[in-house]
Amino acid sequence: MLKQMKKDASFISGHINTGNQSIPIIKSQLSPRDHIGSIAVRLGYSRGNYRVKPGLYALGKPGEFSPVIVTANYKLTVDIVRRDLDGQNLWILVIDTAGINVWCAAGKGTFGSQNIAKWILKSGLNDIVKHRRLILPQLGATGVAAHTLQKHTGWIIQYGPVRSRDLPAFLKGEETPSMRTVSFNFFERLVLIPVEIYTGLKFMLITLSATVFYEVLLYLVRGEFHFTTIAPVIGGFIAGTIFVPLLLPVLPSRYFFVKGFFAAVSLWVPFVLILNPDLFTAISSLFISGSISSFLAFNFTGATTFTSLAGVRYEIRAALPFAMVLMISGLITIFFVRS
Amino acid sequence: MRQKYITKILSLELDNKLCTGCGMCATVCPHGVFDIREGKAAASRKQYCMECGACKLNCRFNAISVNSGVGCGYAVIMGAIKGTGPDCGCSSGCC
Repeated sequence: MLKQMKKDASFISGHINTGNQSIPIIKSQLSPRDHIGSIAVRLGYSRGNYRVKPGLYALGKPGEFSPVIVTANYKLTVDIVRRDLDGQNLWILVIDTAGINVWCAAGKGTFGSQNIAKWILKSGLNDIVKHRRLILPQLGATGVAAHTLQKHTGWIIQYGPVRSRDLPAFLKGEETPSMRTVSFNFFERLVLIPVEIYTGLKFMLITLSATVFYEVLLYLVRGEFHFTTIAPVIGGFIAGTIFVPLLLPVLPSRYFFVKGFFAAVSLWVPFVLILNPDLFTAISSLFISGSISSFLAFNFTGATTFTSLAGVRYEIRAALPFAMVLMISGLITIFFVRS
Repeated sequence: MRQKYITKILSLELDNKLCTGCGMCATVCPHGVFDIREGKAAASRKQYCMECGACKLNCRFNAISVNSGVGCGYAVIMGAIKGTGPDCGCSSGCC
């Protein structure tokens, strides 16, 4: 933690002295070190501890009438915000969200009215600027009641755009519907894959060791070794963590567990065509890979930008039994595989 | 391409009598669910609602009700196991 805080100094270019306060100036250019850090957390490395010291920062040469924007202290977030605001003169109030991004922190309540009120006071913002207008990221609205925060702090709360790259336009007074809408395009899904693999790895290793154990039992019963479960387990994992994010809009059905099954099918078909296995191997590998991919796809709902709690609760009643029945059927089918 | 999730059981409700048409819900909604028509909000694109709860929280007239929460399969499973609500509860890890 302390080491992390020390590293912070690398994106500070100096200080502005206003009144009795010394406000760090944040760079709008990202350094190679920032890029490496971004890549590392995108891969899943040390994601929980990639943070910036909360407090007030200056970007450019802000004055007492410059805009104030608020963001979370996840370093990936702060990096994107400062890069997108290159050329602006404003204040950035970074509040302590325990290193979680704005939207998720808003859902958890750390990007919330109380915490923002606390950081307004703590930062001394009231003495630094002469206006009382605070621009919050739109996705913070899940955790903030603007009217309540306004009543308690005296600051007028305004919701800016969803993405910081639209902030320069927003500050000029432009506002379009696309600035207010979240997307989930191909690139946004692509960057999620490493973390999906990283977080799913433990699940795959457990499944793999369980199936190896099962194969050993089968060997004791039949005296033949096949390892017919290994490939479908890995295949189901690849389908669920890579194919599901990439192919999400084109996979059939709105139910994620069905999408996951079809992701496995899309991997299974070429394998069957090329390797031409016996019927029982083919069936069991479809069942096992389908079960794993289906379960992983159901879990992927949490990484998307458009799934609802009601929908997840609705689909879970079918998703879990489906994955379980498929897995059991797959394991039973293997019993009939003969060399 | 705009993606839709299961729409059957969405909990978003708008009380037309309490609504003043201030437009705050339309501002905060990340899926453009609301339109302001003739001085009142309308959930014209309710099928895109993800129940994040931003509209309800920011409606000072309490005109909106929605059972908000995370649309996350993992959180729902963990919540059921732990006997708590669906919460990621992770300071690190997922989101």
